[in-house]
Amino acid sequence: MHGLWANLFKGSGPKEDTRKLLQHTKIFARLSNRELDSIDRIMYRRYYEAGETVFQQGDPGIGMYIIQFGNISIVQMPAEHELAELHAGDFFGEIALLNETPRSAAAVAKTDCTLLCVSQPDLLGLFKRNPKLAYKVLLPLSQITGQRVIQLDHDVLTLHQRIEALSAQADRTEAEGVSGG
Amino acid sequence: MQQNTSWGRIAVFLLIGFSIMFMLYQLSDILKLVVISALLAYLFDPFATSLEAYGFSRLMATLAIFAACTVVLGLLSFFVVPIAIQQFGMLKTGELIQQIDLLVADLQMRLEGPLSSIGVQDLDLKSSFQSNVTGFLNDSINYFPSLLSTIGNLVLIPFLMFFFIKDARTMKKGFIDIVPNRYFEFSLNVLQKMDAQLGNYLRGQFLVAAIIGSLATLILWFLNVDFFMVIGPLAGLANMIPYVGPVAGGLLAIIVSVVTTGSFETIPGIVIAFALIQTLDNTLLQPLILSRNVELHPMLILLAILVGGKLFGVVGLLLAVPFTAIVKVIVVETFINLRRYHI
Repeated sequence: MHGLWANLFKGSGPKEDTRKLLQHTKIFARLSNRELDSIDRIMYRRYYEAGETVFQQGDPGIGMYIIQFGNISIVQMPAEHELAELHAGDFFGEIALLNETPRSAAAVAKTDCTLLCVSQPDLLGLFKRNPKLAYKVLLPLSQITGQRVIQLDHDVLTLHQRIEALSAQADRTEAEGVSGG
Repeated sequence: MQQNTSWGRIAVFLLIGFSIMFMLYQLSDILKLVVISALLAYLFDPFATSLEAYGFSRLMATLAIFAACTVVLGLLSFFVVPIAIQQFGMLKTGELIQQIDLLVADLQMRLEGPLSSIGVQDLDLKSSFQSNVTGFLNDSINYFPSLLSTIGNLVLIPFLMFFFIKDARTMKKGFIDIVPNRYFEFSLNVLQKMDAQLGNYLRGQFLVAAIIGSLATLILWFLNVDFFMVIGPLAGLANMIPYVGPVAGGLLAIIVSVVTTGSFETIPGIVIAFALIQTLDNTLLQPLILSRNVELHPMLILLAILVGGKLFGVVGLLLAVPFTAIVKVIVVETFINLRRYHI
């Protein structure tokens, strides 16, 4: 009977380190302690061994991950080209919080890892129960997504300029070859 | 090779399915309570979520739902239940059966004269009627002790329901926590898709049943049909059984009305009333309330009703279609997502 009452009125306060980790994650940086607790309650804590795949490229995205311990490698398939190495405190897969797009790359554990996963359905459910939380989370998420788009534009432009420069250099080399021949 | 794998997978699924069915059959009494509690909790879940949006904790939201249910049940037990109990009591004491006997004897006397002139002798309608209709009525009334004993056990149902509502998310999280990493995102996805499809469907089914039951009760009361407090709610519940339910509800009302009044005058009224209710159900309630997400083949529905009735009696009949919908969504979403996740 004691167990029953204990279950009925038990609290579920988050671990302090989880709260700190969330506060250092851009998306959740604006939240109060109470709001961080509500995020903590919907998170899944997952443990991965070195070499284990978190998700495959092309899988439907269901949520984002925050690295609590360990390193994660973001890998572009099929070339297995490493796009980035992420460490404790970093997060990845956040686009899946906006919509269920296929994962643009695979995520593989480089070392033994502890990851915290926030899934889109659970987060939307939380927004339903606490609408104020929605803009506090969605605004930074949109800003991050916007920054990524600007960065991508910049990268595309840089690549385009490099291609043009290389193309011009190839033309010059060819012209010199013809005049030299 | 690919072909073999898929056949092997189907065989494994079937084996698991049959094992689960067998286990459920063995635990049918306990399972009924758990399933009913879980379904009721699932129906009330959106109310708890809405209350949480107003700042209630999950525990307070659950307690508020229980308080509201207690008030509603209290009002019902004050105004409605005494009538229903009295009508059930009359059914149980066999007054109805005696009235059937009298009616059949009267019918036989009237028929024997004209029929003897064309050579038909010794109708003995009474014994054939007793073996059929009376037997049927006895059976259907005797189902109620089992239904009532379930309701008697209902101390357990609110208890289970309370924790299903309060701890629904914790239970889901607990389940996901034990899923291996390889199936983690897949399981989250399947659960979310199931909830999206089944939530509206199941809540819609029960809402339609409640509306039909209330309408049928009101109309039967208006038509002065005895036992309206029993037949009305029964017609509502029976409406959850496709094809068979609506007809059974109407037929029961007709039989009871004829037997208790001894005349056929109320039949047109009851037929028109039930036809109108069905029209309303098919043209307005079903399209408005029931989601089109879960489509079940008529043959599958009939098979489910037969199996449900055979294994779990009246409760099985009522829950056959929702349960089939649940299984269908689980199977379909599992297969779709197995492909999407390349598992």
